[in-house]
Amino acid sequence: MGLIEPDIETALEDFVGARSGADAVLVHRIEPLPGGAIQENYAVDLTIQGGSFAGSRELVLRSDARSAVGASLSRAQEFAVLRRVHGTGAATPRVLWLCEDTSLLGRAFYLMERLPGTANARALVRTPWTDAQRRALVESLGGQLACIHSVRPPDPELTFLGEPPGSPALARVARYREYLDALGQARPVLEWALRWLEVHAPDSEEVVLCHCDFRTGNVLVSGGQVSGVLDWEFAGWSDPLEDLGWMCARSWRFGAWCFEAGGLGHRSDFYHGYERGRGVSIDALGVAYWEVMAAVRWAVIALQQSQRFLSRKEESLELALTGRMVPEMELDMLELIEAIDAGTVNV
Amino acid sequence: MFDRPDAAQLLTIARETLKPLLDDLPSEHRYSLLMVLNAMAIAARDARAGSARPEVQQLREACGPEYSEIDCDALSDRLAADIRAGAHDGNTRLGQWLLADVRRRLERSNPQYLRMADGASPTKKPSPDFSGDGFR
Repeated sequence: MGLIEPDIETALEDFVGARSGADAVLVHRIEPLPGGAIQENYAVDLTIQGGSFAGSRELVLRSDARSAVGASLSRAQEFAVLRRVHGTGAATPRVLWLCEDTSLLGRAFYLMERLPGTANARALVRTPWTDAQRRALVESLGGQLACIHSVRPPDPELTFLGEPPGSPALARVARYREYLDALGQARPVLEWALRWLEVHAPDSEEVVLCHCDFRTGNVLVSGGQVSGVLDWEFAGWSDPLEDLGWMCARSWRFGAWCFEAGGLGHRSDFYHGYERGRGVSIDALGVAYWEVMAAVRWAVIALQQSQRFLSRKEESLELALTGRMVPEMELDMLELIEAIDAGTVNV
Repeated sequence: MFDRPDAAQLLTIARETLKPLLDDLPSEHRYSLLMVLNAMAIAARDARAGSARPEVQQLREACGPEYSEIDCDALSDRLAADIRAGAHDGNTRLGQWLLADVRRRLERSNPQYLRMADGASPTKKPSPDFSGDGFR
């Protein structure tokens, strides 16, 4: 399965030895890590003697999986994003070595430091945090986003992200319409929401580096604080409100709807952490706009996943059921549009 | 006209028969069985809703006279295209129909979600029920 084969350890030892200038490298353990539907992640424990990185090291090996998704970054690009963001003070894993030579392990991969904590969304949402713990946790989430958003275009390390869009909102609307057309399924409710998003697109938008999947489930938590931000394959230039909207979308509260920031804490505390980190105040209606966008985006993804079942590419009950989740996102988007238009949205 | 028990009844009893097996299953199969139970519940609700679709006529009325001749299958495509083009901007009646249609479909795929959403906004009243089919 995956990369685990008898001479993998030797190949890795040689690779790490060469990159770190070590005298000797010994791999103790390689085990798959949970999650990672699109990439494959492995925990790698090794000991390095000599060279620039000596000691007992706990690392993560991240490689391409067999089924790649078009819209995501390559491992090399992800490596560059992580390296760039690490300098901002965000809790990103420190990336070490990138290998684009597919002869080693069959696929491109990179190694990074393993961070402590859990990213298990259901477990985190069900933890009986105290009010003070919730406040601290979501403030730190806000603070993390603030660090990430400090990276602005143009950036010499991130040229592969392309030209920043003039209007991120309209760029998203156009992209989701393209996705819908490619699916060949008419979805009037999604079209209604996309038209609303088009008509109500902001006149001008800030453009920064966005994570584009910043939510409970992609954030490591240890000791009640954010210890790591994971899964950077969708990162790109966009409106910072996109990340805020995604984080607060109802879909990503895992049932704990009263805690609007990712099912973990109050929106106001999350905003406070962000505002303090960036020295700006958040446009709450702007976030609501991007929560509508979040519902549309997730609905489109769900339709794409169910299409894999419908087109007979993958016989999977899980994919089939994902197709029947779309009305949930449709309800979210229509209710939110109605509240925004009526001026009753929670700010 | 047709034999009993019908699809909905069969699915329901079959699901009830499977449910106790959850306790006996090794944990790696529990998730699969839970998904099976969920799929059967959705299918049963779909079957109960039947094929009567009075809401289609209401949709034609909300959209305007050009829609009266479009047949059912093409209606969705036409509606989606017209909405995207802005032809239905400000069509409140259509907006209400769309919301009612979402609620109808959600009643079948995840009624608990609908209860939660209605509970989350106590001042909100459910939209008028255009279904009129009375199937439950």
